Amino acid sequence: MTAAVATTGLGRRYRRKWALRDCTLAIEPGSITGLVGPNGAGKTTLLHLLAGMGHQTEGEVTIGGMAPTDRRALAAIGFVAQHAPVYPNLSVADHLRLGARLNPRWDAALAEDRISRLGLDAHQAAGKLSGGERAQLALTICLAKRPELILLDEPVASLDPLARREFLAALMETIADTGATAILSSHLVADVERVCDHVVVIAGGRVHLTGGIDELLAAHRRIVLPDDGRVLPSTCEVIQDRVRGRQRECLVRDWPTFAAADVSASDLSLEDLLLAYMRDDRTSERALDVVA
Amino acid sequence: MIWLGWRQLRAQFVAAVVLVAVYVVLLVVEAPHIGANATDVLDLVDRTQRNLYQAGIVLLAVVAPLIGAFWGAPTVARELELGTQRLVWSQSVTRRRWLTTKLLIGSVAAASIVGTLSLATTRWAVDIDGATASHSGSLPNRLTPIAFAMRGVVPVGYAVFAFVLGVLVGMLARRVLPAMAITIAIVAATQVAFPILVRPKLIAHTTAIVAVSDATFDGMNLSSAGVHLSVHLDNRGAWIIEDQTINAHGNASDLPTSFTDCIPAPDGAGRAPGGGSPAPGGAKVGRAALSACFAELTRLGYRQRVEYVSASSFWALQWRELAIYLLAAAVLAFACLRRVNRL
Repeated sequence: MTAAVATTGLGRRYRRKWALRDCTLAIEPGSITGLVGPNGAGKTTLLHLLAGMGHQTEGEVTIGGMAPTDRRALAAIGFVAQHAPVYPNLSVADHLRLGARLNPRWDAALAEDRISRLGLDAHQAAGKLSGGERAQLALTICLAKRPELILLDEPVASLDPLARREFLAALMETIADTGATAILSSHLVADVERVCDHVVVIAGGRVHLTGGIDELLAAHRRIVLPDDGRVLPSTCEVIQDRVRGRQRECLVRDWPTFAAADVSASDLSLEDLLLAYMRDDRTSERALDVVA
Repeated sequence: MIWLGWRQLRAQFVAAVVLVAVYVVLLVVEAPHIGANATDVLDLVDRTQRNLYQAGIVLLAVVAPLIGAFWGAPTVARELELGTQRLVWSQSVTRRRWLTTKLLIGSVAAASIVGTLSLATTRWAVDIDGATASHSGSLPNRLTPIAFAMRGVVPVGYAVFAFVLGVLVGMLARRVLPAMAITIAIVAATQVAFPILVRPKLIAHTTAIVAVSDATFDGMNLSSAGVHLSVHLDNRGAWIIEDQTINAHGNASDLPTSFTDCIPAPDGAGRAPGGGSPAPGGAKVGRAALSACFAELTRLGYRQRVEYVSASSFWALQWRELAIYLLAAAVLAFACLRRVNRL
């Protein structure tokens, strides 16, 4: 089961400030997309709009062709908000009962299996769980709903490195089982690298980069050349241009394969790539200046 | 969804049921046993029962603001504070259905708690509501503002109204404590303003012209503004809206100086000269003197014009006021359902 996610010119303004603007995305069904960007970039705003938690100021968002607040879309979306909110007074078992009562496709076996594997006490009040356990409980409710689209806002932020790895592995496994589409936000590139096949870089409320991770890595090169005022080929886009001593180091997209003795081209790590795109002041105008 | 709504209200509801049960047991134990032809009813009521009578009025006055503040206000505001609305709204139930269920469960719970309280109180107090006695004071009758909204079906209307109001205020304030405070303030203000501004307009008034005499005289209010008389009506348990003196031409008037000079001074007050000091041995002499004053007043054509709501209008007024509060609750609920999709 998959759901196509599409946004067109999506924007959300809080009073005077745009938290998200001009966001046009098409998420491939069945993909696992990492939503990365610095704090305050607009990741949470975007996820809220996708999950039907907020209202856009402009633009459109559709989940499988429907507005996210539509009853049928609601049943298809599994969303875990930041900090994994749960009812402090209700027990773990109560939360599972809540899920069972409020979702027609509830998978009780999956929920109970996950809870027992995690070693959570069903009678414990959710308010007494650790941050990691709470995140696991919230994810369990999300997964047992059998969603076609899974939206997770910073799902591993409260987990220790070991739990983080296990959490992501379990998530991967479930997604692989059900074929759901997933979008998860993180400001840690390592998490994205481990589980995602697609990435969306968002900064300053705008989408800076979107695409498949493999394609993006294949399309970008780090170029090192002497700083002699040379003009780079016009077919490539310069993402980052830095001078270090007498050397000039550029990060470029669509570098044509050509050989020159004093120009070296090398592969990029995903982290370098994403960090370059996360820089808020990166504009295409600047890139054009360099090319000109 | 019904399960969740009930699960989240369960603890408070059980606490409320326990409190109501304690109150009802007290009422049963302390029931006033009054024969049908007891004359001086109030003398048959002991101190505990009098306190219980007053407590019943206070209890039914505070229960609505408390339900609004403790059940209504946190309904949505607590979710917004904890962020749990993002958990419950991402299940397969629309926000409107979620809120409709919570509003219905809360309203039914509030109505059943307050309905029980009011039923128990109304039945318990039926024989002593409005009781008067010559030397032990009187209790308010059930049509007067002090007791009307604490009897019959009206408390249910107040409770449901307060609950839904609390929910809406919580949605607007988005924080529990301010929402509770605002809810209490609005409900209390309504409880005070409604009997003054709205209730008299809900029902037809009757006007009676009464000559002041020993038989009809009820009391005299001496203030800096002058002397004000009030009279009894044959209609026991009526709600007196206005009781004013009119002159021979039928116009509202101050009492004539011949009357104010005539009346004896209150005991020990040493009133203005001319009134003379009351003879020792008291009330009887004063009473006789008053009687002569009343006769003179009547001879001059002065009467009391009393505008009142008849005791028989009690249930008609009850149902009308209930309808108004339930209608107000429905309007507020509609506003809540519109608002929830904008949160």
